[in-house]
Amino acid sequence: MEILRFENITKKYGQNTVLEDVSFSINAGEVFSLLGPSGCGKTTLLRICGGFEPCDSGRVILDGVDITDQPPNERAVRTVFQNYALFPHMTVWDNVAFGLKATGVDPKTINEEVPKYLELVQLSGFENRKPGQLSGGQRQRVAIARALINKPKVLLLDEPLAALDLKLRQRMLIELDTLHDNVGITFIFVTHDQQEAMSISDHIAVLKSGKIKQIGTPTELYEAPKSSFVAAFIGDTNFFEGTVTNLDGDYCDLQIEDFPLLHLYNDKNVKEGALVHISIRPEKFSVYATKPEKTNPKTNLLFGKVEEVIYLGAHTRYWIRVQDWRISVIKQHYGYALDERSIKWGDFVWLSFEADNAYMLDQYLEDDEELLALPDLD
Amino acid sequence: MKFFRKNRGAAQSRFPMLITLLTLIFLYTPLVMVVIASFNASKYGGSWVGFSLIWYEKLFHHDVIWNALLNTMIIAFFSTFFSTVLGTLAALYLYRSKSKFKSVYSTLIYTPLIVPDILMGISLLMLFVLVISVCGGWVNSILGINMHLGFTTIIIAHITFCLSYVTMVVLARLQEFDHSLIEAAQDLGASNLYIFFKVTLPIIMPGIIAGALFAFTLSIDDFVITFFVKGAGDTTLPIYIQSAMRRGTPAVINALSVIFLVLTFVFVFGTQKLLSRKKS
Amino acid sequence: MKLFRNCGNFFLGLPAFVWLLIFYALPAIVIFFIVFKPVDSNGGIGEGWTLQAVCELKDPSYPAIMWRTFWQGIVSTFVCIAISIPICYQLARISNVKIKNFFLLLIVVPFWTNFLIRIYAWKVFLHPDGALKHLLVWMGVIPQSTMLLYNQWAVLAVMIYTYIPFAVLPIYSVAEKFDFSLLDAAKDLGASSFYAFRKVFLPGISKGVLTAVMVVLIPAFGAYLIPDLVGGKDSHLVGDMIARRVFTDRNLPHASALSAVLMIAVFLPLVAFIWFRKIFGTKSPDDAKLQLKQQDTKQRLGSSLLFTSDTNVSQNQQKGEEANE
Repeated sequence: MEILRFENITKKYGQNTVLEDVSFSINAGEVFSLLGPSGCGKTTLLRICGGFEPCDSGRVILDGVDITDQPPNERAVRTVFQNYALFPHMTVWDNVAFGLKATGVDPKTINEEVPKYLELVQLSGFENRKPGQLSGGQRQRVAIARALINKPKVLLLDEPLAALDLKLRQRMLIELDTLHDNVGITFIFVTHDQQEAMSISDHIAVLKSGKIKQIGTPTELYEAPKSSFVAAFIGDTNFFEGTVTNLDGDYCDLQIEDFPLLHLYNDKNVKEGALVHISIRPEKFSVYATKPEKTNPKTNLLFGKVEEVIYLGAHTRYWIRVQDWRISVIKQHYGYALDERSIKWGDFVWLSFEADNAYMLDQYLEDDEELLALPDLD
Repeated sequence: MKFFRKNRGAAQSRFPMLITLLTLIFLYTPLVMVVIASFNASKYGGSWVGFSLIWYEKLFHHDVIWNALLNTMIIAFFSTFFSTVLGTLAALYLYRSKSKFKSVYSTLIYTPLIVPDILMGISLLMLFVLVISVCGGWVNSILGINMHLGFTTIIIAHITFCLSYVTMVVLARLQEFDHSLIEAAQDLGASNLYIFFKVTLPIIMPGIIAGALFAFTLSIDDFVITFFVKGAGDTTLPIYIQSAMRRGTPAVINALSVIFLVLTFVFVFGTQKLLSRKKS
Repeated sequence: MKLFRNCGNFFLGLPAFVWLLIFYALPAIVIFFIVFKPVDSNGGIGEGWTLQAVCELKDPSYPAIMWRTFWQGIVSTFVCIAISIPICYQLARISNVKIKNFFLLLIVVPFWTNFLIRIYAWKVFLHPDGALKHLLVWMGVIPQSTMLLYNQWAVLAVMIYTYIPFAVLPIYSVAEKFDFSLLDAAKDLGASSFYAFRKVFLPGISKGVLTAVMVVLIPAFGAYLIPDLVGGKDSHLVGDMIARRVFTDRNLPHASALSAVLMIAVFLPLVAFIWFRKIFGTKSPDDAKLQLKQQDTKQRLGSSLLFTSDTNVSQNQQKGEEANE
């Protein structure tokens, strides 16, 4: 069931178009993420939704009601601000109670509601502290309790984890998820961190320069990115450019300049002779020190030289040169890494990947290659 | 409907801007009136008689005013110099000191900033009168100096009230100053004296100059304290303007005011421009 | 060596300390001393001790003058602050730094203009033959016979005029640091604009307002030139009474007695102010930090008069510091 819909939202600051004809809808009860690099317009969209920013054209529909022209204090939408925006002169209690007091709720209800919500965010006993006496995580919990107490239909979270350090961020992410399960309110989560978005969201909208590039579940976005931007922004990948040859049912071959012929699944039904761009995720490759036996006709086998090795504990990253192309590869360590015969810089290795594991992109921009993690080689 | 309700939630209230503009009108209307009056040929500044530069011409030939201006400048020069030296030293002390005495010291430095002029004026007058009546006689007989109220007492008074302002401005500059620079200099083997003259002083120089300008302006501006501690016949520009004003609104003061206003505007906007250019 | 360095530091502070002790603290004591001295025949201070000056304070005209000094001080402080708060709110909200600084300069320039000339401008403005009078008579608001100058309303108007920049600067230096997303947050939680302004913005700038009260109220109590030049018979304040005793009657002990009264009147709010700060300042570490920042409000008051942009720099640094925390 749809709870919030954006219809053709456009926003300009002078000549600068921040949002261009943005339309999508969000289902009730889900965690929906707006993901994009800084300056992509995600915060502006959130502010339009919260009522802090007027949009030049378009409408915001909340639960069937047009709220485009409603001031923030009349919308059933609450925001957890990036810096939490806790009132420094008020205690935790007063901060949480603010929304009830401001809307004229009677004191008796306030005295009942506030402890409930403090309990919900595990802050019972902190009533009389001031925001200055709380840790970052606690402040965030106050901000969330404060926003939830008005029972909004939608909770907007503007980069809520940006101000926390890495460990705390991971913990708060889990807490947020649990909280969401408990309250069942729709969360809209704005972030530039793809890992955060991936781990918490039901759906993600990827934004770039004021336009929605793709909306989908985390798996869809990761496995089936429509554009090079989404492919490169979410996770790491390898791009190849080539011409389609030898159509064979659902499969085809890809002729790439200065590269071995690849056998691929033709998911887009591309015609022979067409130029396509494909994305292959690093973990789809397997690395072998010795030539593996080719068991499956759909398996591609490549031969290259290791140019860089970065050991990261759970996995190792390799950059391997295959003819003129450098391929990023991730190898999971299933076994005890010390027992494995290690692959070192300068070694010649074999790479394999299945034809089904490459994905053809609808849209490719060379600039997006900059988003990829590349070693600083000449 | 939408036209009238267009995002009233996001729209800011215009009330604060209205107040701001009204206040600016309030602040500038009297000043504009003086500017207009200064070009009015009418002697009493009332209704418009005709455009004239006669008051500027009269001002130019007004020896009493020029003499008063000279006195003002002499006093301002000496009091600026001494108050800048004393104030800068005090700021350095306050910046470095960590002792408990510091709070006593800063109270002594900061309270003069808000104590009414008249209290400072009269208390200094009382001090001078007392000292002269107690010591005047034997100072005259031993040193041959006749102690009296005059330029010296005016300068002493000006140093006293300018000092606090200089300290405040220099200290503000010192507090913005990156202390690791001093540590870096020490690390590079510089002596404390060398560090002071080659690192600290150049960096706080803008603060010292600002403090000195502040002191200079305050000294030129001061009427109340000067009026209390001056001797008979000492005339600074504010003293002259005040005595002229008691007799009404002499038109030559209009012209003088306009010149003052122009100088103030040039000075304030000039420093602003200069500083913003330095920053960029 | 370290001991020597500390001593050196002490000597840095010594000259100014001695100077202020002699020419600032000592004279304040001298005032209380002279109160108990008799007048001598040629306007100086006589020998011996007397309570005459204290008795002279019973002058029947004084209670009215003191009351007027008090209420005019309170009213001008109140009006200045009531005007300054929306101004500072507006200034702090302007995002364009150039426009913001320009506005701030426009408000500060009158402060830099010679005090006497500002009063003079008002005399011209309110002159019986001046523009405002003509305008008001033409509009039919006042009859021809009304005198705009030389009454207590003129005194009050000029006092407000003079002290507005004093109120704007300390409030602005705090308002500029105010986190306006708090207002968004308040509105988001359902508060009306006015409720948010009252419950969030005002408490947020309360320390600046307190400083502003101080720097307006205390000088206003001691106002002398304004009642002297634009006031009339009905508008004397304690300040010009002191001057009158010095210059007209040449009765220094009497003037001292009045000054002593004024000094006490000035010290009471000052002590209250420091006490207030202590009470409200040390509740939480966050507040303590704020208080530390507040302590140099006065310094910034001065520096912002000269360099409006300097406040921006220090403010940004502070923002940086806060972000680091």
